Amino acid sequence: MSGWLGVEPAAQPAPALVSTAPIVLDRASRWYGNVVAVNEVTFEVGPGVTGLLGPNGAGKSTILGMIAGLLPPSAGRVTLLGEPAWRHPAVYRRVGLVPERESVPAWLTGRGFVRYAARLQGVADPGAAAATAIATVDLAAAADRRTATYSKGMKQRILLAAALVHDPPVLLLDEPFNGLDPRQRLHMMTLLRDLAAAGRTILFSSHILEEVERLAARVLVVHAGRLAAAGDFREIRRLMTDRPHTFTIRSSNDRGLAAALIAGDAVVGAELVDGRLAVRTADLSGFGRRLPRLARDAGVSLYEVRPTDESLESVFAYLVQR
Amino acid sequence: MIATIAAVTVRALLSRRRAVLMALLAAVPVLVGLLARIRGRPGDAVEQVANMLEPSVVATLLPLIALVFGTAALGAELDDGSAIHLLTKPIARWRIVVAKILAAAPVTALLAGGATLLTGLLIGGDRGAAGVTLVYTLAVVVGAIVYVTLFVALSVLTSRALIVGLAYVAVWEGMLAGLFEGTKVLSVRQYVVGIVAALDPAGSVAPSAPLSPATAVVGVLAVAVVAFLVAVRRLERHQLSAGD
Repeated sequence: MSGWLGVEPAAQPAPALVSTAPIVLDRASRWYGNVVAVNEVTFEVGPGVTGLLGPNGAGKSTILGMIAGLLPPSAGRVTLLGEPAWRHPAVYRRVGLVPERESVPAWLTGRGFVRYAARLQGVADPGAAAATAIATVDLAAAADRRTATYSKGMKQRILLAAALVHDPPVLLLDEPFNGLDPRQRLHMMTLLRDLAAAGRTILFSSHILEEVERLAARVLVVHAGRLAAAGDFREIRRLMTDRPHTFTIRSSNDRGLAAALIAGDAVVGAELVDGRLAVRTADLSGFGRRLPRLARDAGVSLYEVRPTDESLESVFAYLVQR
Repeated sequence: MIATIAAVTVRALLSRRRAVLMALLAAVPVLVGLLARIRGRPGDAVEQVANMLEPSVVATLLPLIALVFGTAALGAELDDGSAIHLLTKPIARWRIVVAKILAAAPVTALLAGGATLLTGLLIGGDRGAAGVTLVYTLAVVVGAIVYVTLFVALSVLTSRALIVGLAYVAVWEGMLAGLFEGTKVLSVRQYVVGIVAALDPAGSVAPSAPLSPATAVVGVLAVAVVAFLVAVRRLERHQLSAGD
């Protein structure tokens, strides 16, 4: 699909009507009453690791829920391994799901929980399959403890073991790095990379840019229920870096500094708002180097330089507006 | 598959505080029966057993225990989100409902039926009331299956199953169903009483205006089948809330 070769605006998706990709959303929407949670999203996910990136409340979990068959789309089509997952439980034989909530029965041991999942999957030797899956997530030492004693990270890993116990070709993970310490995070990333290298299709959601950057070559950016961008992560990263950045500056002479910045081509716009100088620059690193020099040359003291749009939400909003 | 889910559900039901509370509740009529035996009560033992078991077990203990276990068997998982582990497995929804009923009904039947048997035998087991005690026990076991099926279905229909179920037991069955002839046919409690009257070998237990045996049996089957089908249908359409 051409969309994977570069950044593809969400407004012009190629309809995936005859796709054989493991995961396909075709103009899928989901609304709750008058609230639109997901709005005409179209994408495909093939083998490898794909990150579903967006701020909290963007609709990532709703998209994963529709893919996993936990929710029906209000409109459009969602297929998992060629079939709609909604009201089609047979598809779970080939899918593993790690939900965001670590709602593991507290009275079960980790091993008991994974073995239970293996039995429900109809695995021939549930005990052996559970042991393998537990070893895969590096939790053998704590496997016979009740899950009530587990940390958040351990619960995430036992959930992953339960999702892997039947060796599914498709793995869906909702915020799998939540609660993991750096070592566990690294281990989880390595594990997911290895699983993908074996040919699996892995789709995980995250609101943390760096997690997606480190793990997924392909990324789907979701903002306010819409697909903002889909494709190669580096392309999206470049867009994010190259976009205009806004700063507010407090100085000993805001007007003089504004004149110096504009004359020196350091900014693309400057205005005085509520007694402060607001500037926009398209060259973030160049602005950082030139601002102190221009201020010194103009005899202006800088009191405060603050970025105003560095939140992830503003980055996603920028992508959507493109 | 069904056995696996049922076994885990039974463990979940029994591993919580509610099992202890229900056991204590079931012990109340047994203790009353024990006191009655110790003190000794002259009179018709069959009538004494009926007068004890109907209000304490049939009208109170049975529906309450069934309500607690029936709504917890599946409803607790749906409420706390752990049902996702069950609903994302390749299992037909009817199997899940059957497993939940098979977990909650025996636990309910054991506690309510056991309390019925012990209470009846303590009060009049040695005075000719063993037969009617067995009849009540059997009717309570049937009632346990029907009530549990009804409450499992209720827990899939609403997250307030405990309150709705309590209203059904206390208001409908406790107050309205006994008042009018027509409303009795929509009361599980009346079915249980009807089964007792139908099975009573000597005809010595004659509650006022019981349902006919045919009506009681049809009612039991109809409620169980309809509740089961509703539970399966709703579970097939159950949507798990998304995280954001």
